[in-house]
Amino acid sequence: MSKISRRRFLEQAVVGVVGVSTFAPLAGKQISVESFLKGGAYNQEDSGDDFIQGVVVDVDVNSGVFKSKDDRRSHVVQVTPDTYLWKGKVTTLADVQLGDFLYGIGTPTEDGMIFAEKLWFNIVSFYAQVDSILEKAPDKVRLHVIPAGGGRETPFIVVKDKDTIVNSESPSDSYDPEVGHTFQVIGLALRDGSFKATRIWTMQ
Amino acid sequence: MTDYYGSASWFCCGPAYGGVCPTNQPPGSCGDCRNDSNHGAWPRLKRPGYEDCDYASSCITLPWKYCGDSITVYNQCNGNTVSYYVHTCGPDANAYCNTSTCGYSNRPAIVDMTPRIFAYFGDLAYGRYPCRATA
Repeated sequence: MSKISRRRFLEQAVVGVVGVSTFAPLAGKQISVESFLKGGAYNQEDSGDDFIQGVVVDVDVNSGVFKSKDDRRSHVVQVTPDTYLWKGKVTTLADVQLGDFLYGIGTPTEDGMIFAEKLWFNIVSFYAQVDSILEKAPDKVRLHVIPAGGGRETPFIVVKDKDTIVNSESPSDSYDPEVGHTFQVIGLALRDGSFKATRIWTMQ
Repeated sequence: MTDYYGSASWFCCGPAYGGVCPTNQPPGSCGDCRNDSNHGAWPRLKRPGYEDCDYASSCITLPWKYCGDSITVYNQCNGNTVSYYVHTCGPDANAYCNTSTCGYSNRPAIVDMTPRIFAYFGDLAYGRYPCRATA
């Protein structure tokens, strides 16, 4: 992906060339998800500088800028009104904390900043089998699961609640997990080491 | 090259530096898988000098691939197309032989991609899409 100057990016934003509205402080603003549904082919270069991964080391909500780093590089990331930002749900930079990890994509500028297009904070995906049921309540289920492929000795604790989407498009209470069930968890890594399942894909 | 129909998802591979993987994932069957590269998995992998890895034969007929082979994946839900290089073996299509997503049912899990590639394929938070893989 070619880099552009920050001035050029903002000029395009003002006239709507790239579909970015005039930049404004982001505090309290929700971002829609519809921008995801678009067709197209992406010609990515390997290890390009349009991809962001790492741990958040600095956040300035007023300016919409955060900094992250991983084992290879550091990023300075500008969140715009059109940035899709997910942390358990679609939300704003105000919900992002130091120590959160992220994946994202965006447009790099000549001065080394990235204008974020899509950001996912503390998101996980793993396949697992239910080992035991810790808690079962009408609005919440807590499960001990064993992740497929190993990589960690301690079983994961997964929380399924009324907002967890199971396969279909809307939250579902119809899935009742049992010991031995296998599924894929898409979810939010919580600070206590457990995972809140925002979506479960069952193997039917 | 032939088209195969299934479902595609994403996974975390490589080092868990700074917690970007929830588990300290090994670097894949090919030894060098990374989240920030155009890498992914294929359920039937041959590596010279190692035992063949086959996660598909009881579910779907797929070709053997080698480390570094390219797979092109078309997202049947949103029309996006991506390509990646095979750097590990998976997903377990035998165990996940019948997934349903975006209105498509009976789809074996045949593609797993790194976050870098999947970010251009769809929404990581949605997690699984029906796909046509050209391999």
